[in-house]
Amino acid sequence: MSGKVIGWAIGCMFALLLTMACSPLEAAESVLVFENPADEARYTALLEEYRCLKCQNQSLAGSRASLAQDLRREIYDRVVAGEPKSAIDEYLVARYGDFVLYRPRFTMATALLWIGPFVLLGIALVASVSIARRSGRNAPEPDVDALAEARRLLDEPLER
Amino acid sequence: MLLKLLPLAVFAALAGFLWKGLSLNPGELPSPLIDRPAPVFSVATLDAALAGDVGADSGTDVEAGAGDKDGDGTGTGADGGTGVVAAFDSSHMEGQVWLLNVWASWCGPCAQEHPQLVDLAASRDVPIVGLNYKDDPNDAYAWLGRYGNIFSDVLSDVDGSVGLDWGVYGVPETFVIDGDGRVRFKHVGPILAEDLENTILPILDELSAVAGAGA
Repeated sequence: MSGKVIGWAIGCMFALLLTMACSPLEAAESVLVFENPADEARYTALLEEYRCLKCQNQSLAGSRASLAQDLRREIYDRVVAGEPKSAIDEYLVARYGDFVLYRPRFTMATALLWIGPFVLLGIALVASVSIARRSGRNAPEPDVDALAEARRLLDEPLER
Repeated sequence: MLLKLLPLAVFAALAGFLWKGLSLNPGELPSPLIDRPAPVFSVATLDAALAGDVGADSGTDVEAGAGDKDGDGTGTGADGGTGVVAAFDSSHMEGQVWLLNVWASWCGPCAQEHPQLVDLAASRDVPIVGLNYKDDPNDAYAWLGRYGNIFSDVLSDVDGSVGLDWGVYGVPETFVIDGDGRVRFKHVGPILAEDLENTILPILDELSAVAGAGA
């Protein structure tokens, strides 16, 4: 038996072991089947847009919480049914509030969140401009005598 | 002069927000359901789930008993016979103040809050509907046998779909629904003795007074 064949057999065994090791993890959630790749791409992109409420720093895409599984299933059904993102947003916000969206919508409640930084930037600009102007205006009047003395000293020919 | 105080004012505002943030629980999210009509649902009772005929016959004879307050009998006779209420329709609760408590046998804090629910059931005439969330009906039944069943109705939400509509994200959760069918309050996490005394009982008394005056 050649070494090549033995190597191939060992490779197969490793592959088999790996499959066996992985399968219990995969079995936890049924694999979703998409009829067209556009739906799948939309679904995958959408999952990154929503927060898992159970583990708040994870998106629905990354979370293994059972709530995230339920919501993934719900979003899958809606994507396959062709619902627009706005409708899916609406569904989730009605249940969990704006917090579920990683990019909050612009509403009265979130207005401060969106425009607050620009307001602060505006205040900072106005403040710095006015401070700069004021310090220019308040600078002491130049001392005429001292200036004349300085000019005379500069104009004086060097002795050495 | 005013401009010189501006940095101090900004600091004070920031410090104020951060100080408030120290005492907030980031796990507690405000429910968008507050002051909105409660989601209406119809779901199998625990008895029906135990008998294995989930949603098999949700006919008219079922609805007659669903809104009844004497649901204490739900702990017995799970043989799917005539005495078993198969489904619960939340629209039958309209006109009275009630609580929806979401619990599960796998949920440790649920056992922690149970004594407070027992106190509540003993001291106020308010139905507490127990939604058994994503649980095995047999485990739920055993749990009720161990801790006692104070629920007016026990419902089995095996797949968590009712919980999804109510925006449940952590068990236990408790909702207070008023006589007009609106969610008035939501408590996330176990109800501790001080939560019951300081928050839930005052809300219930206030709502009951309003409901009593309207009737």
